[in-house]
Amino acid sequence: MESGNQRVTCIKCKVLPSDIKIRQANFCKSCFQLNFITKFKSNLARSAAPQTEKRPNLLVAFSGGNSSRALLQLCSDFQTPGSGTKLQQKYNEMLILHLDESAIFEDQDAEKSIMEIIEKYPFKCITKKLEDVFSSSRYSKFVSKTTNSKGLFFSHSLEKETNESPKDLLVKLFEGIKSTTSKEYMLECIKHHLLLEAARENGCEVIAVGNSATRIAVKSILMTSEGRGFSLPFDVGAESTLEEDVYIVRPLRSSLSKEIVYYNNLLGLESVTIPTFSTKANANSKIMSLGYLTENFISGLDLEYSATVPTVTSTVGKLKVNANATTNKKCLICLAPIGDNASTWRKNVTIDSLDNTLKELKDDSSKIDENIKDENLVNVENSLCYSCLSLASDTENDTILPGFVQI
Amino acid sequence: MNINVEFSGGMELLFGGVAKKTIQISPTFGGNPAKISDMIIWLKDNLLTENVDLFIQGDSIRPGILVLINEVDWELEDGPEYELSNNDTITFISTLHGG
Repeated sequence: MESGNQRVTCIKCKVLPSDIKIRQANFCKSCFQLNFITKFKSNLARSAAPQTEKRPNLLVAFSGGNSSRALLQLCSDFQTPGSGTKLQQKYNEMLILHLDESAIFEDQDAEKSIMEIIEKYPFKCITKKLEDVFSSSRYSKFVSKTTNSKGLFFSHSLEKETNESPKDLLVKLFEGIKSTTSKEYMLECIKHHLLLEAARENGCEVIAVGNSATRIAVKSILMTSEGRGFSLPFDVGAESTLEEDVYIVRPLRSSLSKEIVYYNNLLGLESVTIPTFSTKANANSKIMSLGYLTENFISGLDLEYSATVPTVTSTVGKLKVNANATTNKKCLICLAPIGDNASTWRKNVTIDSLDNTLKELKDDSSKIDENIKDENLVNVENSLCYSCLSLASDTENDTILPGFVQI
Repeated sequence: MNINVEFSGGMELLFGGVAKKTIQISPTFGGNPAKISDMIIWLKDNLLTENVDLFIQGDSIRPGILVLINEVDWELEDGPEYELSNNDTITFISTLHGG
């Protein structure tokens, strides 16, 4: 039986039998590939870059996963077009950034496979390790978190604690965070910082990340439920222009994760599976997170109603950045602008303003832990965004925070 | 009959790290020609090393797993009702984040 003859013809060429169904459209292999690459190129070509006198440098974030595997190949093709084309390249130079997560997930084989993939490309590769956020050469002081009857405080850590290796501090940080949801949230914050840091150190003005439409839909719902609605346009937008000197672009934002894995499969692009905190979670396990639930929710809905992902992403795409967002104070942990009402929302668990609290502290320091000098304590309730306040309240006291958190 | 099964995108973690395998299954199940849904149950009973919820939800495959029949999206064939032929290649690819 030759089933190929019975399949509907491709919607585009109207000649060949279709091989893949993307929402309601059926494509043959070559028309699918053309459509997929065109969407990517048009997204990348239209994306903005910070104003500089020269062409910007592009940093491609590569985790090894499906989406960033496709991103790496597509960016490489974009940057080095065939010999016949005379198009002016949009980017001056392309670099590959890989964040090594082996300190917490301990998978050396995965790291090896990732480096093997990167070596296939003729671009400079930068590797950063997650524990770099605890590097003592980069940061001279670390803060730890304290809660007492007066509220939530950050204080400079004691000398003896910071003598531990960066890796130990990183592992302790994640041990000190109670829920899987908060662990995943903290990991995202750390990666975000490392991305920006790597871009600045290497003179890159644009970072490309592999967020697919599916991932953006999941992140939109996830971040809204985490209380990041205020800064959502920065977190999932076509390009995040929150930082003046480095923009984050998402050129795969019009492609479903199904399209991405099919493209990888067609081209034989091998990906590496990087575990997350909720890998192999199931309905009964303790490691289940909001992120895991949200992904299940979206992929389940999408099966019944194939417009789910585009509906969420196009709705979220219409969100405008709040006028205050660019002038508001930035969160100490995630760098996103703090919503005007973040502290009011949490009023029932927070206390007075910073000034009043410090005054009260000086008047009544007897209640504070004797080990910590009171002038060292800084109330941070108005210096964190809503979702980072949630993270902090889910973190054990005395947990040492990454070096980018400074008071 | 012989069926080539392939797992990628994290699916291999559910099957003891195996990325490719040729399996022998009966050409008929309950007197009817073997369908892909029969093979999925066979995989669950014989090869799956992790919790069944990660592979199957309800009476079909978990949403977010792409199934290809000889490199063609199974939605364009008959989905779970597709009748297997000898030497078919069935590919399971996870599109989910972090496996």
